[in-house]
Amino acid sequence: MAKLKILKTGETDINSTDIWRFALHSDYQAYKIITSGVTTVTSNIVGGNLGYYGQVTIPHNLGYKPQSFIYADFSPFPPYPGDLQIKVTDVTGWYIYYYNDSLIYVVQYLDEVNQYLYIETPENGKTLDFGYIITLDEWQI
Amino acid sequence: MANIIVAKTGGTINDAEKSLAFTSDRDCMIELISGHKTVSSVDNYQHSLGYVPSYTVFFKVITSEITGVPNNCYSPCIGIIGNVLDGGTATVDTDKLYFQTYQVYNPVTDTYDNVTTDFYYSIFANTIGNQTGTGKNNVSGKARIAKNNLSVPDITDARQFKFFVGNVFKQDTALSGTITLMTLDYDLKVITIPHNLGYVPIVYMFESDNGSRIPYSLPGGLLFTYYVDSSNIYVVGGDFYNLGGDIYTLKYIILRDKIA
Repeated sequence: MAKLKILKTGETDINSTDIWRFALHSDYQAYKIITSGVTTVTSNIVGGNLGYYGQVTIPHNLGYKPQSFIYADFSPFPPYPGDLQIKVTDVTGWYIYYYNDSLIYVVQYLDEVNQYLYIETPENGKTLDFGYIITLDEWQI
Repeated sequence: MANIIVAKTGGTINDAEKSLAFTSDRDCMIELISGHKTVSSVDNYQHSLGYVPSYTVFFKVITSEITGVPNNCYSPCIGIIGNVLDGGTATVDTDKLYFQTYQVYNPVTDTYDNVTTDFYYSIFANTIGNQTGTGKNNVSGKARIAKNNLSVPDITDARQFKFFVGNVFKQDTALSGTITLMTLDYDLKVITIPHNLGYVPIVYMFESDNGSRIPYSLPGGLLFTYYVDSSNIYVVGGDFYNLGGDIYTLKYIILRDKIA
């Protein structure tokens, strides 16, 4: 069977078995993006463990659980003295961010229909900006 | 408009999109920059893109504190939580990727000392913000596919391409798979998964119930994380407050792209 292989710039051996030398190789599946964007979640509903929560739902409607890459922007939240100011960072299933004398719970999860972005804060009305990349690539392979 | 559809070996172009090696109908995750930096306290890599790029960072754990995980493994670095059990911080803005080492308490001096750490990073062309920025404006080469309504000869900004010859992360579906892990009170369970690639591959892991990436830890004490070396993946799970133990299913995706 024919194969499609594209070497990375600077690589010369199209027959190499070092797959990392290829920019694209038809034996291996590229990440294919179905949707990406930015959204803001506001914790303005009474409840949760910290006092207030909020959630945004992003539909993907794939019928299976895809792999997604989620990022959050903590720039508005000053760090503990001496710690690095966190700006945008990837967030996994549960992420607890401490700032000054407070904290935020960040949760991201998904099902066969939607990606969910959820936050909890002790204060009403806190907002957190998210960036998301949802791929077609199945999480369950 | 004509499409380029590439089936995986053994598949056909009529396979579901999710199973294709490549399709010009969709944007790819395209790695623009990769490298590593040894950091003794705080440092950065200047990407100068003018927008917030997607990225992924791993760090090297020189001395493992976990029975069953050898020294000199690599582990994902997520914001300020590192990999939950080992530290390190990575974060990005429109100009730089920032790193901070973790600190350990020194009882002799009663101070917290930085632990010099090697960070390994991949920065993608794909943006995760709304900034326009200058981007990377020197994309060239013969293999380029523009996004819809754009024309290849007219554009050079990496964000405007579905594909070009940077690097597309390559998932090895044959090597990837599933494990189950039982967590027990105060007991960090380690499961070793051989990959035998001879180099340290990028690995992503997901927890089955909620589809979320790991590592993460819950306030109640449940945690999942993992380490990778040139032979194996070491998956670590624990639940510090659950006496009975629960069984979790975790998925691992092995890429044919190197951390080191």
